[in-house]
Formats: sequence, C-alpha cells, structure tokens
Amino acid sequence: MTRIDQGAGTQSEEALEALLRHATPRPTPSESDEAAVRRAVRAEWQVVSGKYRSRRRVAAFAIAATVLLGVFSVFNLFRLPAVDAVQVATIQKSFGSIYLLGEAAELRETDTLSNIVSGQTIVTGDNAGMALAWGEGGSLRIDASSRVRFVDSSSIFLDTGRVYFDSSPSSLMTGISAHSVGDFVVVSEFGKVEHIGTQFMTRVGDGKLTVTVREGQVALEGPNLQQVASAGEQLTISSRQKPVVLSIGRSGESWAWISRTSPAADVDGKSLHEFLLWACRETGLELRYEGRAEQVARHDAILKGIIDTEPLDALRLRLATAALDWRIDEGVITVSEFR
Amino acid sequence: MTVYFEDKRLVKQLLAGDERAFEQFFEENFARLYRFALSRLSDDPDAAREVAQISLTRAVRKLHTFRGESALFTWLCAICRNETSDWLSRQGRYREHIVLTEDFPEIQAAVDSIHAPSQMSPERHYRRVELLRLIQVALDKLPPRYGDVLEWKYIEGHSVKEISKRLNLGDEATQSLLARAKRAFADVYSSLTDGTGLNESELVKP
Repeated sequence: MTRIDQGAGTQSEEALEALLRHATPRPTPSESDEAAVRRAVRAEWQVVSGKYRSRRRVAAFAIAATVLLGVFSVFNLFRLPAVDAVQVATIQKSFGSIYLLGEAAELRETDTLSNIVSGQTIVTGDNAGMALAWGEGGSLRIDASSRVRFVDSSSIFLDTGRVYFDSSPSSLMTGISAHSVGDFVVVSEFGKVEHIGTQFMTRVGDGKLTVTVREGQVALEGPNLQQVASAGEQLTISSRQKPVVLSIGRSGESWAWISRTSPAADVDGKSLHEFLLWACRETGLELRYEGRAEQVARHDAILKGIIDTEPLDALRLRLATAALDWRIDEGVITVSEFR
Repeated sequence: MTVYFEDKRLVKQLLAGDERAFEQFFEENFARLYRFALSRLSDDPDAAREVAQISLTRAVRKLHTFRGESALFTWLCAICRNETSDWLSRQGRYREHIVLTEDFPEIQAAVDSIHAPSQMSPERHYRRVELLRLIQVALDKLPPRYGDVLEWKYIEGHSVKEISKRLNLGDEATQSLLARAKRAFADVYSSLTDGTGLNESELVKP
C-alpha cells in the first residue's frame, strides 16, 4: 500500500485526486425516506428535549420551593385534589402530522382529534398547522414544529414553536365565538403573554420569546420584566439579554403561515365587503376602495357558499367574479373597478 | 484525551430544544448513518433506512449521555452497529452479519485520532471494489462538508464555482475548504487502508 503522503507535495495531491476520480458517488437515501425519518426523529427529539428542559425547570423549582415553602407546604401541595380535564378548544382545521403526547411521554400521531381538553399536549410536525376555536372565544392558530400544552380554559404553555391568537375573529368563521374573549394567556419558560383585545403572535425558540402584535396590545410579564407591546411592535426577551423592541408590519412573510391555517369562512348571503374584511383580518392587510368599488362590494355583490381556501386565493377569485380589480402595496389592498 | 467540543456544544443545543441544532444534527448525520447501515445490511435500502431511523431515535434518547470523548458521528456509528446486529437477529439473518475493516476498534481509533498510526494488520485482502468502498467510507468519516465538497469536485466533476454557489461561499473559501478536505481525506483514507495490503494502484488496473 502506498500510503498517501501529505508531505510529498503536488505529486501526492495529484495521486489523491486521481484516486477520488475513480470512486463512485456515495449512495443516498430517497427524499421521501429522508423526510419520513426526519419527521420521526424530530418528534422523538421534541419529546426528549422537552422532558430534559422540564426536568431542569422542575429541579430549579424544587430548590426554590424547598427554601420558600418547606417540606410541609410541598406535602400539602401533593394533597390537593386532582382537577378534572375540561374541554378548552375545538379543532377547526388541521393539516400535516399532528401528535398527541401520551401518558408515557410517547407521541401518538392523530387525525381523529376534534376537541382539546386541559392537560393535553399537541405537537405539530414539519409541515403541519392547526386552527382552533378557543372555548372562551377567539381563534387560536398553531404553526408547524410547535409544542403546546393546554393548561386550562384560559391559558396554554408554549414550549416551542409559534402560536397566533385573534381575540375578535371575523364572524364569518364558523364555530368560533366572536364575542369578546375573557382571559387568554400564553405561558412560556421566559414569561407570560396576556392579550388586551388583540391579534398577536408568540414564538418560543432559540432561547428567546418573541411577541409580535398586529392589533391592540399585549402585556408581557417575565421574571424581571413587565411591559406592554402595542400594534406594530415586536418584543423579544431572553434570559440573558435586555428586551428588544422592533417595529414590524401587520402583514408580510412572518405572518404568512397564519393564512395557511385559516379555517373555513361561511360567506353564504354575505356581502363582498364582509368577505374582504375577513380576508384582511386574516392577512393583516388594510382595505381601501377606489371609485364605485365600495358600492359594489357593500351592496351589489352577494356571495354564496363556504370558503375553505387561503384568504388571498379566495380573494383573487371572488374579486374577479365581481368584476373588480385589486392591488396590494405596502400592506394595503386597494379594490377598484376594472378600467 | 481529545474532547470534541463542537459536538458537545451541538448536543447541548439539541437538549435545549434548538431547532437549528436539530437540522444540523440531522443533515450532517442521517445520510452518512444510512450508508453506514447500508454496507452492513447487504445494500438493502429499506433495511438501512429503518436501522438508521432506529439508531437516530435511540441516539436522541441517549443524548444526555454523550460526553464528547469521541466524535458524535463515531458515537452514532457505535449505536448503529448495535442496532444493525439487533435488526439482523430479529430478521434471523445472523449469517449475513458483515464485519467491515472500519469496524475493528483499532481502525475506529485511528479514524477518531487520525494522527495516531495504526498498527492493525487484518489478514483479509480486499479487492478493487473494497478499495472503492473504502473511499466512500473515508468520505463519510470526514466532517460532513469535507466529504461533500470532495465528492462534488472529484467524483461528480463540479467546478469550484458551482460548489461555491451551492455552499454560498466565495471561490477562495471553497478552494481552501477543498485543500483542507483533501488533507483530512488523505489522513483518514490512509488510516483505513494501512496494513490492509490494499493498494490504490489496483484501481487503475483494467
């Protein structure tokens, strides 16, 4: 064997290149196999990392509890009667792989779940998403690769991933109570986020919590922080850095996933204007009319049926049918007559 | 003792639930582990996929035990080797259990610590096909990017410019990466073939 000698310079390098040129490409798994394995390993990893972090939190909590409360208090804590599970949400739409965390911390893929009860944990796969009608009113969306525990009828624990909550969703969305919502709190390891009549998105990942407000306000409460974030603001907090506030638009790429989770809208007998308000609320766009378009949308064009496509796709079709033109520019959709 | 700090850091991030760490972990290891299993399972792609999946799942469960005393991929290979044996046992395919050169502990140590000269002299002589296979094995033993750039450049024949574009790097950075990859390959390949009696001149024989 002629050992490939690094010290032999160009000649040796040429020999090495010649050797490589004789080789054949390494076999690769098929894309579908890779995707399937990735899903399975990811699901397992999410459980493992979730449990690992929980254990660390529990350990930290145990130390604090020992100091503050003492053994007697802890003993009493365990004597508290168990709370019955209550229904907290109804699933309106789901796609992709949805997992339910089992009692033995195993993940079970489910496609038959229709209601969520307190105590359940949902894990969404790579290309998954969900829309839920929150029991107390409001629309909750869960993005792909998220892990959410439904604590009770007024709060969820976001372990990782992204959720969106609209406390005053369009009345066109079937099955959602459109009245003003009571308490709704997103709890995370970094703090809790409470709505003050709003549309907002909360993301937990990469060691930080990010709250983006589309409308209204939310109150954030962390270990060393109490702050209110308003429409157009994005607030990021982590355990190591100071909070960062950025300005952000009401629509755009970071909000796009919400449209994918839009549940069906019942537009039967509704005006085109009502439909447009729904589409704008889902996408974050501001609605403007030009010329007689508003008259047509409010009074002349009455729609039929149920929409179960994404808002912008539905909008494209419905406006064409009503012979109206439209354009989107910097977060504003302008509807006008065809020229 | 060498400690693989980069791998330890990646595992720490994985345990913390970092999505990017998971992507890196999967991207860097799945295909290589699949090939590792494939060569031990008579080139059965379905079996290799299954064993690679089981191995990665098992590894994820045991992440907290990873101490960084070997490279992460070496650690995964050890798990995969056990899973392959279990899988073959379950399938009743004891006779097909293949022991490969790189499975010998001495070879593994050489690959993990490529500056330590190998003293191993396996008795078996390999043929041309074995040499070709060892090139693929050596590519998989390199850091993932190194193996990829060498394969793209010399096996698939892509230009430096094409590779730069694929990796989103400048041409100079790609050239530098290729040079480092070649040096690492020379070390790993030599470690794999030292004492085996294999000679790369067999490759050019008709």
